[in-house]
Amino acid sequence: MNDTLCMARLLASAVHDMRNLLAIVRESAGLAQDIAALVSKQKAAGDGDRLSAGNSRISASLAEVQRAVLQGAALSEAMDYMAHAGGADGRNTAGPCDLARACRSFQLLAARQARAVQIQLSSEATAEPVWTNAPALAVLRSLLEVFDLCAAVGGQVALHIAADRLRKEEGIVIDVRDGSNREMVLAALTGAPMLSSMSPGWRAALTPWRDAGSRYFLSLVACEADSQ
Amino acid sequence: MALRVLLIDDETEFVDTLAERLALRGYDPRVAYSGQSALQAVRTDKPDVVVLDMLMPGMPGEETLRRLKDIFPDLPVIVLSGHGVVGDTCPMAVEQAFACMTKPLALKALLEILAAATTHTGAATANGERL
Repeated sequence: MNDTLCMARLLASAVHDMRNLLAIVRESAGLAQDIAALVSKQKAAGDGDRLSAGNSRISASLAEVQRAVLQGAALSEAMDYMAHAGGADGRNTAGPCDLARACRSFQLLAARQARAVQIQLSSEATAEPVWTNAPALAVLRSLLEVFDLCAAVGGQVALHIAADRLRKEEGIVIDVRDGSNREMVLAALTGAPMLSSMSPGWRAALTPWRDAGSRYFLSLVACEADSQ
Repeated sequence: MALRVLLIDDETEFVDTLAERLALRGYDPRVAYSGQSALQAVRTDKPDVVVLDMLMPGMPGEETLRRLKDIFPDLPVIVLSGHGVVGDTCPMAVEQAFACMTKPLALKALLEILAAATTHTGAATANGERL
């Protein structure tokens, strides 16, 4: 998988989610308008009970709009992060990268793809930064490869990703927490220690995390370009 | 008698709200959050029209459409997608669907297509607009 394919897949997933959020905004706002029109009629007719229920429903609809807008804003930020990781602002894309932010962005970007294969993807919402010299887009690509490993054996699992350190080395902990297909996913991750795609000069490897059975450490290390 | 519309989509907030808006307009909406549950529902309570999201976890929209058409060949199915143009990704859906729409959809456009689907099958119409 190259950078372009990685970005294309994550962007398609994010756009799909964005359309759904816009659909929720449109329908919820429309419902609020519908009920406001009904409430006007009920007010004119002096129907106090229905008036109160209508106002509550309007309030709930508008709260739904706000929730969807906040989600859309978070998704937009993740898309922007990926765009800049790919060099959209003309700056050097070589690094450094905050792995915590990369995890949060990946979780948002890939959410729709994950749901399609019944993978429940989560990350830390407010984690402290964990800086690495690996390029951000390479990190996203590695996460997508791990995701593909899980999806290839059927998905149906809960995956949690979080930036961390192992023996002073920065990386990402992949925690296979739950799911009907958990054993298959664990087998797939155990059987694929070396991921295939990294930028020249970087290597991604997946190893068991300390002694815990369901967790893996995705490490991103510099290597000689010729050794790739 | 109100037109029975089955809405099939895993995005629960969207489909529940759409159902509510259709109900306010005199339709008889039902919701199913997956292809599998939709197929169970149609066997006991045949809808007049179906609105089907193409990308859902579990049974994909294409397979749901194919199975709906196997059970009820004349059932109008409006396919819905948040994934660009339906025809690009699901050519079979374009052939078998009554209409294709993308999200976010305009309710007015959906109502026009529901009316056209009604005329097409001779099914019951909406029981008048309350709004």
